[in-house]
Amino acid sequence: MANFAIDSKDNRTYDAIVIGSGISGGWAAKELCEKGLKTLVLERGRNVEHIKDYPTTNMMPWEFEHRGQIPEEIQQANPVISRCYAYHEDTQHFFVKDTEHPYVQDKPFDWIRGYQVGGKSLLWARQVQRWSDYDFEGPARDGFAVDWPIRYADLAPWYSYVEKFAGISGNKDGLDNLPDGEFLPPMDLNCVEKYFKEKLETQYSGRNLIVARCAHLSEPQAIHLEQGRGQCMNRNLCQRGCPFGGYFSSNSSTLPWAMKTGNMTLRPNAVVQSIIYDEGKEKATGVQVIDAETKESIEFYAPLIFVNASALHTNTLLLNSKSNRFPEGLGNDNGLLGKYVAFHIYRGKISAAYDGELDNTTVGRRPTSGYIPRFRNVYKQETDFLRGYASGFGARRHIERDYDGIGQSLKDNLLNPKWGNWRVNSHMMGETIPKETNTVSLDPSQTDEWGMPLLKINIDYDDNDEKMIQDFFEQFTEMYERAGFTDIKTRDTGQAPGLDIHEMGGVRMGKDPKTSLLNKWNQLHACPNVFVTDGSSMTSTSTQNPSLTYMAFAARAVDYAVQEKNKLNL
Amino acid sequence: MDRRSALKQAALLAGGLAWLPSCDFGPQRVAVALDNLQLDVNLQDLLAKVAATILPSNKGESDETSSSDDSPGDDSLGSEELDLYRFILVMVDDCIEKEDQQAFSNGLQQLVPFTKAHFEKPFPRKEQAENEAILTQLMEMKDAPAAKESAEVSPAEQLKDIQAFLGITKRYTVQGYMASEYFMTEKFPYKLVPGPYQACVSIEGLTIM
Repeated sequence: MANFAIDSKDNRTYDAIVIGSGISGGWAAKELCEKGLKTLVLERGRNVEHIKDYPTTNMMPWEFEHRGQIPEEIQQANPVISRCYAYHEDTQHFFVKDTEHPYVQDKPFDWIRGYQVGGKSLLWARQVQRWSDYDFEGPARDGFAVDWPIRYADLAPWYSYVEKFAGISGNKDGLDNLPDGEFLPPMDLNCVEKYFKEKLETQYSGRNLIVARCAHLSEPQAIHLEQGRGQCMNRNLCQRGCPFGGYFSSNSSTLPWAMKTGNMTLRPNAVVQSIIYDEGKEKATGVQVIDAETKESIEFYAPLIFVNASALHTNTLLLNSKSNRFPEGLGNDNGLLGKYVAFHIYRGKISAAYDGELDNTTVGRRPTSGYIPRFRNVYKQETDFLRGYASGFGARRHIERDYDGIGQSLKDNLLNPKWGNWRVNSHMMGETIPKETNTVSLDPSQTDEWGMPLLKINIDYDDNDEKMIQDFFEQFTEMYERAGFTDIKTRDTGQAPGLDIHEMGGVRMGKDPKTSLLNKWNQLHACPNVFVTDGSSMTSTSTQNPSLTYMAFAARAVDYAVQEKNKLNL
Repeated sequence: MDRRSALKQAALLAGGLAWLPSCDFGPQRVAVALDNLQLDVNLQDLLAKVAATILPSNKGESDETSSSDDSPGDDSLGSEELDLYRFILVMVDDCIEKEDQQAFSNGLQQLVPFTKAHFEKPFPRKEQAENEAILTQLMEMKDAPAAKESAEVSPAEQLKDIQAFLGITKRYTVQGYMASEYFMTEKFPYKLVPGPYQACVSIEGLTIM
């Protein structure tokens, strides 16, 4: 009976449990462990150790059997994931295949997932723009969703806190709609990007082009070296996993840091089914887990639980955590759990040619691009749609190769490319309005291999979104024309929600338990020893990339939770 | 992957011979194992010939004194030395839709009979220039020749498949060439660690990479 001791309840009891090991779970784990709590981190996917489990990271292009392409049969079988911009032969092992983990699409929703230790922090585009008061005040000002229970000032110190540890490259631009942070040296804008920046700033007020802030160690500091990370080498092969730890991921940064404290127990292949609620104690006491491989059921216990399963999975988990006290899901007294889900609009793209700066080009690769912060409806409502969009912007010198003919002439052409003109590209990142009708729920009859109800996703664009897309096309066409760009081409990708990979909400924060699930500390109103600090907690979506905000929320919530625990309030 | 192990076996069986440059497609060759396509070794050899016509070898030409200019393409390797037909087969077998696979396969099979029936000289010839001329003519042909009496498939259908086959083959020959270790180390060296990003550099004296 050697297993008897291991299986005893004592040995399955921790000071805290973190569900999920991605970008926010990693932070929760680090903070809890650093504060001395024995912490169990549960991850439904397999283990991925920094460097050791990046099988393609040092491969040359010609070493891939299909030179990067995903074979047709796999694409046909997995249409959703095949639409993701980062899903290629070199990264496919970090993506969830549609066929392996089905879900129900009441309306088309491209759900992009990474089930492994580190989650999607291995795969993200590493953009880390802070949110501003214009974002946190949005719902109250414009009358949608529900007022955020916090403002920028509440989060600013926590942004600084996570930025210093993660390592953020950026420029101090002094813009009130995109607050500055704790920055390592910025990446450079190239000559055409600088030209456009100047044109925008002289021809418009409040339209700025900056170099986007990204989670890359442009100049590692002592704290980064201590994590075992090194300088970003500008390889731009980030999504294979970076062997230098040049960009921030849970795998290279927060998880090893948590592990070093000796307080972390990491358990991969652990699919959390539900959070256990004890009616006598009136709190959550632990979690019910299925081992992904053996399908064995096991319970773990802790007085403090952090939910960081990723936005939609956190909804699934809470909805599935039913008890007599919470028949509709943990904390769901008001029936709003799974509602007001929102996302970002990435449908609009616009490209053009520029025939200036022909004496110059760029050399090397840059892991970020230019960025135009939101300029619509910022200070006052000036259009017939609510909110606005930020935009990526990048310029590249084109190389022209003639592919005509066959034989020696073709070969000569391939071997003798010529400089072409520059091309510029922009894509929108728009704020969608969280609506009660955009929901996720549990399918009443279908379950997955691990016994979890399948998630039903019912999310769509609305008129506000369509107007915003048109405005992006109109404004950028005008801006491009005024800059002297030619051959302007707009494109609506028509992509389904989800492909932006910025799904948020369903467990929103708010001041009032009647209209929100979480309080200003990311704590379930109705079950205060459970904290939710991933994308599901977002009340509205802003236009900026959300990951940095999840990190700040996770660190801030742990700080509060541990203080409360020490005061014996939890 | 069945094919991957089969490929290894094929390489072992064939020994060094299959890998010799400018081989004459002798009897030692073993067909590349495929999952979806059914192409025997002769058809695979024919594909190799088409690819070699699209991107010929100039190996050794620069050593000859007769060369009049010194254009950079002069001693470059071609499809044959780089075994590009293998890459084409892998891509067609794995990365295109069933319909296109069928057109590719039909086109490859009909290439020789079609040129025999309708051209003065059939493909392949000994001279590169002649082969180039035949393939160019096929690729540019707008109207198919009139049908001969016993043809099972109409020349128009045949031509359509042949053109699809040539289009796919050219695309993958070019891709295979530009993504080959040779091209990416000797011609346009790829750097895994490229060094710092330089945002604004004069193109004067700069090689395009």
